[in-house]
Amino acid sequence: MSYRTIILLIAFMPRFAQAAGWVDVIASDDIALSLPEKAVVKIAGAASKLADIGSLADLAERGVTTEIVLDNNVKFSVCISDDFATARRTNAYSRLEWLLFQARAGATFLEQARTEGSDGIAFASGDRIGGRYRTISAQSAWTKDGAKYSRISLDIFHKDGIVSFNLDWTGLRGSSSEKLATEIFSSVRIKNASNQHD
Amino acid sequence: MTRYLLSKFAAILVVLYISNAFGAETLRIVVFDDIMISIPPETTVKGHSTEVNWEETKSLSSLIPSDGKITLLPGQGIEINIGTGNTEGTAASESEKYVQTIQKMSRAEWINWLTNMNRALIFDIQNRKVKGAGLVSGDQVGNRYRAMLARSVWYEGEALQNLAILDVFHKKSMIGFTLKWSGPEGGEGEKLADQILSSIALAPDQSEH
Repeated sequence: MSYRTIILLIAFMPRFAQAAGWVDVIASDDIALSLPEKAVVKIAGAASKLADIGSLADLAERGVTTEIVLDNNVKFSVCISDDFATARRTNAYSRLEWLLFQARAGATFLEQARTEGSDGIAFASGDRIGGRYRTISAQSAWTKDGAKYSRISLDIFHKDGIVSFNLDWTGLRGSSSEKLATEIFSSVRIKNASNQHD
Repeated sequence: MTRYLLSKFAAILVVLYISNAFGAETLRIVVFDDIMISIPPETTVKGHSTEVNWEETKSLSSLIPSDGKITLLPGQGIEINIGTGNTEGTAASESEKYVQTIQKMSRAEWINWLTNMNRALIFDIQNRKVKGAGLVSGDQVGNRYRAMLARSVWYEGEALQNLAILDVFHKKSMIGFTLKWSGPEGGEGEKLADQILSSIALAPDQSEH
């Protein structure tokens, strides 16, 4: 094997490793994420393959939740609303106003977790995506009928509205469901962004 | 003549509007490398015997002593501690490793880290046996550096004590901003502190937006 072949193999190996079984999807406008290739999209009960879909925003009406069924007992849902007034206002907040908004968001997530089951806990935190749009990331957990439920949420205050993602799974910490959910959650980024956390 | 005067008046209004919109009452200075902050011109430096000529001081680095820390007093009883060195108690190499680890964290790892920091802040408030609250959150400076944003409030007697923190995970070290003041929510101290805290950003020629 020539040294050129080895260099080429090394150069392309990470890309193959990343792409194996995963597909890049546009959520809306400049927001992208990666989902398992085998995922099935459900809109009003009708199912279609993820590979046949270009953008999640084209799938359903604005403000309507689209569900994507994944392996490992993970449910992924996306909702894109037209509330650009809230999104614009949120992106314009000063840092202390933004913290107050997050405290309120945290209280809402906590209330939601407590409504879903017993022992509900939640934590919401602010972040940014691509230095451009403010986001709220939240982790919630509760118990229902003896089973542990977990959810991670990401609300992006986009220029055209609010893009909301929820990943729900059951099981304990460290499970394959949690691993898949967190991988998808971390993959949300600005299209063509180079920074890992974007 | 009237038209000439009107056009002059309009020009003056435009200049006034622009200077106001860009914060004529504040000075924009470099803290370190590509990080900038806006402070009122009457700001003094704690421990500095003479007043600082801010017009000539282009970068805070020239004022920062060897321990890498400086305290600014911008008014309204606010103290801003700025540290531009290694994370406290760590060697330079350790600090660099820590900062780079945070910059590379996935979103899930980042929120877990923030949750732990938030828990630590709440424990700290509880341990001090004071009536208070706190929140730790994530932020970014430009599209480049991750930052931790936190606020805590507690009562000392009748007075509300406030603390706001922005720790910027810069290239190789952490740049920490800690703002302390006393006063009620929505008070003048909070307004000025928020204005200064929100002004921390990338230098204009470094900004990607």
